[in-house]
Amino acid sequence: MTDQPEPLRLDFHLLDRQIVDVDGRMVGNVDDVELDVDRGGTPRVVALLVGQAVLGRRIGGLVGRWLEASARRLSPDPDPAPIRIPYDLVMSVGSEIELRVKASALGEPPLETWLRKHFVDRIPGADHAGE
Amino acid sequence: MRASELLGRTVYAPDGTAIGVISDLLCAAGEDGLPRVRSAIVAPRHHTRLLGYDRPGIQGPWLIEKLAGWLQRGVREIPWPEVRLDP
Repeated sequence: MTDQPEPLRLDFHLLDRQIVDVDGRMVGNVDDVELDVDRGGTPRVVALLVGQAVLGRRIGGLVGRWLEASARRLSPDPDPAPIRIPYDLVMSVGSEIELRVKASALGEPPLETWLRKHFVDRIPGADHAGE
Repeated sequence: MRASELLGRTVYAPDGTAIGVISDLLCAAGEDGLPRVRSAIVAPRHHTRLLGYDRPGIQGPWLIEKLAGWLQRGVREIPWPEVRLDP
């Protein structure tokens, strides 16, 4: 069960709030929230979404389109999927959102993938950096 | 569906007149532990963040509190089953 305020305010308590993993390592910010509508028509929170394209779509307008376009440019995938964090993995909601898992279990953000591919991997010796 | 598709949406009265826009969604934990939307905070003007001063028991510096009160005048909570998103 998630330790969360009662009532939980979707905009105030979740959107744009910082997410940290079980070790306190920064994961990102909540850029949008995925909702599922039950048979009675009531939406429920099922996942937190993190990603530049998600934020761009939420903001909209010129800035939003630019954010979405730059996210596509940085991702090898033409339609980059956001990092999706099932709400079951949220341990607590407070001044930051704490997860029950390590950040490494959630996948790599597109910006890090792009930087690794275009810069880090090209540095001489990068292929045996762990030695 | 995403939260951003609901936040900022216009809410209508049964007679089809616009009441305001959804400024926030209040949720309560369901049996499965996932938060379910129980009501919408509807502001009469454009979608704006309410600075948290609409929460009961929250007090702040007098000037900020008055300013927040002025910004969020006319804000009301509507139970989710009564929220109409189409005129």
